[in-house]
Amino acid sequence: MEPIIQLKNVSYTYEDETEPVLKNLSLEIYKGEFVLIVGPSGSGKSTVCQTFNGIIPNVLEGTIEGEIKVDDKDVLNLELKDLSTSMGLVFQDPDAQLCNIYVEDEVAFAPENLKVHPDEIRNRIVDSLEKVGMLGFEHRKVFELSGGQKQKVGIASVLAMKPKILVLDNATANLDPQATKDIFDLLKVLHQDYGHTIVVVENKIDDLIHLVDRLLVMEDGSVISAGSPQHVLENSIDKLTEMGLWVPEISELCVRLKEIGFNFNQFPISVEDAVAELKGRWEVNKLVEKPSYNDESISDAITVKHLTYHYPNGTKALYDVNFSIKKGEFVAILGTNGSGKTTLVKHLMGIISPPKGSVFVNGKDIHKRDLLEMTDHIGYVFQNPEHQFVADNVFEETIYSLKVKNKVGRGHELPQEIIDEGNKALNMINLLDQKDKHPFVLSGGEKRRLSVVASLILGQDIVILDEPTTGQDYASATKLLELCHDLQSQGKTVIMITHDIRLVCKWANSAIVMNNGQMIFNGGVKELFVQDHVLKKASLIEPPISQLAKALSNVQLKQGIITIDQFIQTAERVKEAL
Amino acid sequence: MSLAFQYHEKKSFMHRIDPITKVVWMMCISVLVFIYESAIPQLILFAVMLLTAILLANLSFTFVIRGIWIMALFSIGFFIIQTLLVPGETVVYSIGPLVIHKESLDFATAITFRILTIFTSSLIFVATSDPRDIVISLTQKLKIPYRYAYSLFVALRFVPTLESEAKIIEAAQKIRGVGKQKGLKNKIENLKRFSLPLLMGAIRRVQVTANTMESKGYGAYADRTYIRTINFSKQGILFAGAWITLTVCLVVLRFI
Repeated sequence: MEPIIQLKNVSYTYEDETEPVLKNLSLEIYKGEFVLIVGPSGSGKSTVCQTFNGIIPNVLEGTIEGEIKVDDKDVLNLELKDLSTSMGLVFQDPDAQLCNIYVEDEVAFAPENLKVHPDEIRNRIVDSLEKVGMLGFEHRKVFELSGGQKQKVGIASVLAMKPKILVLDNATANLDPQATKDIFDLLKVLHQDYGHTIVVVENKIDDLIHLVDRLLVMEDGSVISAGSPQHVLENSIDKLTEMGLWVPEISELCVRLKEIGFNFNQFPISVEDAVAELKGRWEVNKLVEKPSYNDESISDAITVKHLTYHYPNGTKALYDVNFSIKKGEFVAILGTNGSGKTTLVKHLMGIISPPKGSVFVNGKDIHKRDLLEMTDHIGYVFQNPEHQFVADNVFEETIYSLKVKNKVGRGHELPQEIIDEGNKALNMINLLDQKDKHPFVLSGGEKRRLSVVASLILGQDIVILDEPTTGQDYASATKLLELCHDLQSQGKTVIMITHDIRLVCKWANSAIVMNNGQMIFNGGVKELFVQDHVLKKASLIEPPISQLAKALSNVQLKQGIITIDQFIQTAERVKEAL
Repeated sequence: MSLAFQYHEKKSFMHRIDPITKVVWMMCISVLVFIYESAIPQLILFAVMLLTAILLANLSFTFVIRGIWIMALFSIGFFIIQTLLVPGETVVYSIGPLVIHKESLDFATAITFRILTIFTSSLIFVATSDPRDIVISLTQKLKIPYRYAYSLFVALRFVPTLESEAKIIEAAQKIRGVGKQKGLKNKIENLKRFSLPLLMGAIRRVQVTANTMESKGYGAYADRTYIRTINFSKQGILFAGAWITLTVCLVVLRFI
């Protein structure tokens, strides 16, 4: 079969850089294939996507060598307009790629530019919006849509060019798990029912891997491994983990099972696969005892009583929320985007001033407490670390709040204690050797860790983190969670808004689940995953391990089995492997 | 600029007519305010603007006031200075060394309302014209290359995004303690702190936007097709015709 995308020995160096991003890279993608590309950040995944449609080298200049053929066209010798009907590219940031005010205009934008007749464009608008399930949104404003809806409009807007190939470069990184799953389901339909060739670059692949035909692994500018997802995962899962990538939890488990002598007919990559392989051969029936996270003697770090909040425009944001968080706990706050998570934690910090008698921090009502005073008690880490950076180098960034607190102005000499504090904090996150760099030039993971230690430099004993792992690879997400774990073992209370269920399962003790402004669950993480109605109501995607454990269990579980270790400990081999 | 100064989706006569016709109407108003230098005709013109806003554009009185209040405040200062400084003969009122003349009062009133009239007519234009239609009119009727006209439009699209990002940065930095230090030097420093992340975010976003637009064929051809077309309506032609006739007559009357 003829490949629809063919790269031969492609090398590319960005303008003003010396090191090539793509090194002698060759790959083929066939017509009608669904291909997933994974690789650590900086491995050249996004760059490859941009060579497919000629953004490189037409818009982004630099030196390129080799041969690129897409849809029988020689990309390097053609202009963008000749390629746009061959492929459509969807990017990560939904806000950046939609350049029109109304949905209808966004979808019409590309065909209008390509001088398609208006009557035909009208048809394409209906077709494209129907494919992505957004019919009826024609006259809505783009910036009023949710992130998931924006990405669907983004997909519709490239579908309107009638491309043969659809490329999604990290398109779900900013979405919550349910919206991500919706996009994956949509890709399945576009692939199976409409025959599009689809290329996807993704970090988190648990819910996607079983849909794809082929998995390409990139490292350092070239493809190091390619094949069916089963094949690649079975043979090089350790290599992928070593590279810092998220691998499907089920496959991780199955590799562990293989090590203890288990044989599979076909290596499982999804819960369904694993159930088919393990049913009748493994059983989950040991019951686990209750964890002791509920120690009554420990006092509360935060208490919330009957907290209700309406937005200035009258919409209800929080309704009668009650909970308490004990000192030294690691609490995850879960729920879909728009469920009230961020509004809730803003009350804890006093960014939104809570009514009298509703929020207590370390036993004291914080009603009417000044936000600046609250910063002595709580460190708050925003979603985008860059938003919080205030200094010109990493060291100054770390000690900024200390300087403000001790009124050390410009020209004053820095007291030795402050220097020591700063060095200690940077040492904790291994950034001491980069202390003179500008915070903006650090890597994504380093920026986040820096913003955590800089927010906690005053020695606050409560830290709130708002979606700190969004869009990060496994290695840097894990490093961040290890940092939080360290803080917890120092006795600090960690409160984290997150969508990363797998991380929650591994690191958090308890969870608060928000849905439509109401708290619908407050308790241990293990207990959460046996409450199916809560999971369903809050659109939480259950971790694969928990799904598998339930499917293999012949008793009603009182606690979820949520990590690979727990699974192996509580599962019993009932029949020897064949 | 206050929030009133943007497109307000409503149904009205002024919303129905196309932007080009409204520009013609604005030009007539501008000519009229400049041929009169006394208070009465200027007050009449301002009253006509208010009536147009309320009756023809379906905008409320408070909306107009909110839209022009900064300008109105500025005009009051301007009015007082003019009243005191412009020479005149007939004394109306005097307190000590301050003498107010009838002629200067008349002139000050005239030029103050001249500013307010022009400002109100722009407000009506902006509030009743969909930015899409303005861009399309520029390209379809005035034959301005769409690459230029569109850049204005894309900028408008990103205003809400930038606004919400600015709010987040402000809160994020306040928590770090920015704002605790007083003094002008720190204020300037804080402005830099605030702009850097906003600018970095915007630049990154602009690169992605440019890439997306290019890959969607933006600028591939000198022209493009449109799913929306702007037509001069009968009502619009009549409206513009009436204003042109009125303006020509008044200009002729004034200078004969």
